[in-house]
Amino acid sequence: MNLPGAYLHIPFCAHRCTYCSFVALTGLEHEDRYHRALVREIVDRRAETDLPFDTVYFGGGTPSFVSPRLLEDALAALRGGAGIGKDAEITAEANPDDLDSARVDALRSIGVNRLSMGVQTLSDEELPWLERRHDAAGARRALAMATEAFPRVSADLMAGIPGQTRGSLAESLAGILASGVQHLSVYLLEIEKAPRLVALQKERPDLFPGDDELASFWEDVHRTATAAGFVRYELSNWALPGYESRHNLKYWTAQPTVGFGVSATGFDGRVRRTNTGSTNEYVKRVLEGQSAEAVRVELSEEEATRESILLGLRLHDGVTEESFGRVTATLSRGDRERLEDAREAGLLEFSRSGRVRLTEKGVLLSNEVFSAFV
Amino acid sequence: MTDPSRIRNFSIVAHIDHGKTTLSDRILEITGALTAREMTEQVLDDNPIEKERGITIKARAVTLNYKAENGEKYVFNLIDTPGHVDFTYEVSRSLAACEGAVLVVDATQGVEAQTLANAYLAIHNNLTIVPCINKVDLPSAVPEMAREQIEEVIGIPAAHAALTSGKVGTGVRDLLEQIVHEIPPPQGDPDAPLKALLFDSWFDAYRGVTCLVRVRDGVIKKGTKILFMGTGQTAEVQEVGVFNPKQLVVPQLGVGDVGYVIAGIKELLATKIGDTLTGAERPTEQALPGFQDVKPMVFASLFPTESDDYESLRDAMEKLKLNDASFTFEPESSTALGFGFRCGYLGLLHMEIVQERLEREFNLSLVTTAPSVPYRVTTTRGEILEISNPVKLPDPQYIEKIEEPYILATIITKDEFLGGILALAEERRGKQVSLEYAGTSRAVLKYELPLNEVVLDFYDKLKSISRGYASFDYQLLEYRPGDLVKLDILINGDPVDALAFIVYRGKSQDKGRALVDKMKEMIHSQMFEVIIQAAIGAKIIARSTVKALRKNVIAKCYGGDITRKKKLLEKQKEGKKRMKKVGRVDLPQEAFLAVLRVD
Ligand SMILES: Nc1nc2c(ncn2[C@@H]2O[C@H](COP(=O)(O)OP(=O)(O)OP(=O)(O)O)[C@@H](O)[C@H]2O)c(=O)[nH]1
Ligand SMILES: C[S@@+](CC[C@H](N)C(=O)[O-])C[C@H]1O[C@@H](n2cnc3c(N)ncnc32)[C@H](O)[C@@H]1O
Ligand code: SF4
Ligand SMILES: [Mg+2]
Repeated sequence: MNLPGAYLHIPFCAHRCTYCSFVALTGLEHEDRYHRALVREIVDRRAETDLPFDTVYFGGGTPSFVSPRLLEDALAALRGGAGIGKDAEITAEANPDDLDSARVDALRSIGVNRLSMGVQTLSDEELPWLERRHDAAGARRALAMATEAFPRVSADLMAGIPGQTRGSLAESLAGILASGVQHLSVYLLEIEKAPRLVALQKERPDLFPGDDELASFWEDVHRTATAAGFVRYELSNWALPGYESRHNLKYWTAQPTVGFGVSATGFDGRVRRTNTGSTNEYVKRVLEGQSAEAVRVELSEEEATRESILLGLRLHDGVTEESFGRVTATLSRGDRERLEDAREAGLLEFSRSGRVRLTEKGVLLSNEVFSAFV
Repeated sequence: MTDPSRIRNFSIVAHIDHGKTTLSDRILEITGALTAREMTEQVLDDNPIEKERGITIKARAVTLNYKAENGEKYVFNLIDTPGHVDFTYEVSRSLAACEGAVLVVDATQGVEAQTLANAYLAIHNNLTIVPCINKVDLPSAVPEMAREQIEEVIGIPAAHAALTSGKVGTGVRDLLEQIVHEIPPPQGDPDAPLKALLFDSWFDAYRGVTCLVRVRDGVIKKGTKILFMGTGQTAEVQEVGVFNPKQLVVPQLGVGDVGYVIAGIKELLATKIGDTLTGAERPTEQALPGFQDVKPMVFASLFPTESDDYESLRDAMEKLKLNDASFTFEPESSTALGFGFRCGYLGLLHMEIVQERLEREFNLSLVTTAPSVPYRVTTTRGEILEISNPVKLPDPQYIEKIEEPYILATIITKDEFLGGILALAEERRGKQVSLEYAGTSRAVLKYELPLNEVVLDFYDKLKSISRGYASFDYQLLEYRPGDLVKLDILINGDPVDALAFIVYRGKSQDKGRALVDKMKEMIHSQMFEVIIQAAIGAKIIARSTVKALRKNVIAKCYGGDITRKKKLLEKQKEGKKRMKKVGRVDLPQEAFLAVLRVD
């Protein structure tokens, strides 16, 4: 059975990182009102599914920054109705600078069993460009503490930071792997919505790794992680077998999810609903008993199947040749030609077991393939 | 119907940017055609492309009521014309509907090349010229210099020329009075069979073709059965009217009137600009002379980026042709680009505007290939071929000789820029014909030049050398033999017919090198490596490589991100749709025009 996942957005950070455009407020001024609103929304909407949640994901913003009581009360609310499954994966994103033993204990005691650590890099030359509040040593300490206390820990590593080189990236990765995490997510720095980095790039283009270099970064990460026993089970995610993120897998396999909190998105297989992106408005609407939903997109049957291919191809196992063929038959001639070209260029692989997947090269050029499906 | 003696028909002509359309604004205002609230800057430039570029591309006719100082009421049919040399055809059509022309000269610039060219056009059409010296509000205005140049360079009296400012309105009433008193009223016989000149038209999906006419004899009204003498098309008039500048239905159009006729014509080829309209039941004997077919001198091909759009493109071109008789097109098929059209234009700006109008007004996505002039080839078998598409050039062993068109260029400039301009003209294989001075520092330079050296970027170069203080006009001379070769461009080893062009042998090496380098900058990395080569015959003379793309990936994607990332993918895809696929390679529009971007 496809049990649903719950996503909860925690829009507070101690400081705004230069690159980030996720919905978040600096400081905790509005924490109490948000706390009340989030719990209220969960209570009001828990009945939307009559199945227990088997994953819960606290994303942000910075879930490790707010009072653990907030997360605790949210979990309590989720336990109403059909509840949370006994073996549910309960993840919280955490920033290295927040973790001390008290915080770790608190998170663990409320039921969090997986941490996703925003490491980004372990280079003290690169961290200042990002304006993170931790240095490399702090991040190492936090990682050690996390892996000590939690059975499952993931780390976010960022590629494309100003000044980053293959060497510095290898060092960051080695540090992360040595800490004993079982899961790794790699992000490519996106600067479009980060005006200060856009300005920096204009002024100092030399600081930014180019596309070729980034491609090498990616290959390096893959090689090192693979050597450490990790499997790339998704385009930008590596895990020791059995440690994949069950919550994120729901997104890539079009399983149902419910999103709670400001800017949170949920999906029931056909309809994708997103809450308002304004924290103030979110709180106001929810406390007045109104829905916080701002966008509702209903995918047509065709869009839904195309999307399932697009997302399925991100996974290590790809999609079945049968479903791939069925969907490509509905594409325009131009798009089918592009897929043919992609296959000839060695981006796609048709396995003997009847599956279609991205090749090593195809992972790096995946947009060339995906754009046929939008 | 107005008494013809109270009608004044005139075009406003000038060099580009000398203020024709702004002056028209003031005339519209003074005559009360538009209220202050309806007024905008350059009201008559109402095509969005005109607004964006700040230039007139289409002549516009408006009918205005003017109460003169003598208390009499007059009807003005004013036609605002474009100043750019590529649109001279618009000026000649407009002049054919008029008895007079207001020649505007910018008091800060003086007489420039199109001032001269347009003045001569008016003189050839036997029109009365009313000069006016404009932009006198500007501190740098030197009306005396302008007056002297009108008299010396053009050779018409200008002692009484009105001193106007289209911007602030000074002198415009004086000008209107001169129009009343100096431009002769139209002549014609109201009782004779209908005879009207069709001088512009456009297509509307609901009403069919709207014809803009100037009535010479007779009357035309709702119910009149008309005959287009050139095409033989007959129709019954549904509506006649004028633009004031809003469309206004009137009972009839008589001698001297300028207005529109709608006769429910839906066939695009039924009407032709320059044709004579007459009564089907009582036709006139002699058609009006009409217009000489303009000879396009710049040719380029247009292809839809999506091959399925070929038929829509044909339809769009036929409709646009109604409104712009100066461009030509014929079907063409390219091995690399599929089905498209070879189009003839009056110049590069014209080419750009036609493509832009087709894309915007008809919602198409197109690519244009490198422009070429027409060549005349004599084969070893003695045939003479007109080659306007390099693809069609026979193999060298079958060519006896190639001739290329030469022009007589008139360049008017300030003395101080002469050196740079002479060097440019020489570099472009030019031969000086004359150099004269008008007034103190005005140089009038004439050069014979191969058109091939001029169409692409001569004008831009001229402007930059002279910091804008040189103007340029040309007339065709004749074909002369040239040492010319075809330069082929190969993409991944295959020659792309649509990228070939013809070039002077002495420059072929440099051109080929510069071109492949330029194209390399313009072609983005893609799934496959792209090798660009330039070749003359079997000999590769230059090569560059666009390395294969290594990374195009969106890392990490969760929950709400999916929507955002799909949008990103859609954006990438939109970009690709605007490119033309040649084999496996996506070529952007710029790559086809790279030849315009190399020195
Ligand atoms: N100061 C001043 N500026 C003027 C005057 N008339 C026009 N301009 C400016 O000159 C520029 C060109 O004016 P237009 O009226 O578009 O010129 P045009 O002759 O119609 O140009 P084309 O139709 O493209 O040949 C604009 O920026 C006007 O604002 C004037 O009398 N005084
Ligand atoms: C939603 S954030 C929140 C996690 C937590 N607050 C932190 O900073 O570690 C999750 C991850 O998104 C990534 N991220 C945020 N903005 C990004 C950007 N502009 N480009 C690439 N990755 C980004 C970072 O790696 C970050 O760890
Ligand atoms: S990256 Fe994390 S800590 Fe930094 S601003 Fe974004 S959500 Fe907040
Ligand atoms: Mg104008």
